[in-house]
Amino acid sequence: MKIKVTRIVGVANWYWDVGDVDSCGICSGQFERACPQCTLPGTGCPITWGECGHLFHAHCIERWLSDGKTTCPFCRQDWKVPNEDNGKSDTVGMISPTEEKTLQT
Amino acid sequence: MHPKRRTRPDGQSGADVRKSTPSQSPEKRVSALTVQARQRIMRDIQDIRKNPLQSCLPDFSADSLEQFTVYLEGPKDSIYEEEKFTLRFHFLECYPLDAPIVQFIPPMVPKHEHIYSNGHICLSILGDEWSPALGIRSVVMSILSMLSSSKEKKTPPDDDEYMLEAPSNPQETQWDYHDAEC
Repeated sequence: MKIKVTRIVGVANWYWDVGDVDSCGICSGQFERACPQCTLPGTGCPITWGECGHLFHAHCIERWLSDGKTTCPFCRQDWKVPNEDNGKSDTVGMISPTEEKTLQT
Repeated sequence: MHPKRRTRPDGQSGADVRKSTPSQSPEKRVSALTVQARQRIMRDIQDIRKNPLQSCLPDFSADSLEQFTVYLEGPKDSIYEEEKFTLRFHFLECYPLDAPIVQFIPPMVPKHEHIYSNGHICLSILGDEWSPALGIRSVVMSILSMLSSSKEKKTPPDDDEYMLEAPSNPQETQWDYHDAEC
């Protein structure tokens, strides 16, 4: 029997590489889902962490900081984004999505 | 009215000092909840339903998410055991960025040195120390812990005075928190 491949559909799946923490400390929403300001999760609202290591949706922590606050909502340390030097990510304080690719025929 | 500072004269580790500003009803500060606030309140409710607290019975039957009542029982082995109290949560537009307004509803008010007889609570996390990482469950836990650790039923030393000038919204009072338990 001969099989002729007529079409290949690529499907990509991505997730935030955030370890055990699965939800934002401000909106309580899961990182897999969009923050309350967004309709779709993605790089438009990346997961953001401070030097203290606590994680939030970028939009959520921005709203907190734009209100004149300067501390991490969890530990109350001064909110600082990590330096590029610490090698955590290319983007300061933001985690890039990890991609898993599969192919379907 | 000039802001006042008053020190609790009980010689404890700290003092409970507050300044009052002219009274303004909570309604004036409350407008429709944002989508963010609604979603977060729903998640807080799910959290307390999944992980119920002893001595705490929240009543989420109200039509609106903006306000609801929590019935508390004096914690076991505390001086308030078997007493019943009523706590009201009122959420502002930008919850959880804004702290909720939380107060006891008279006459179901515990006699406690940080709880005024009109139900206003001197608790730092309801004011300056509020953080959006806190929620309904952690606020109720803090209040239950205040009750559990109390050794004597007494009203705040300046209770009578505060009753004369207290704004209807406890967030209009500027509290200073110097007591480790407050």
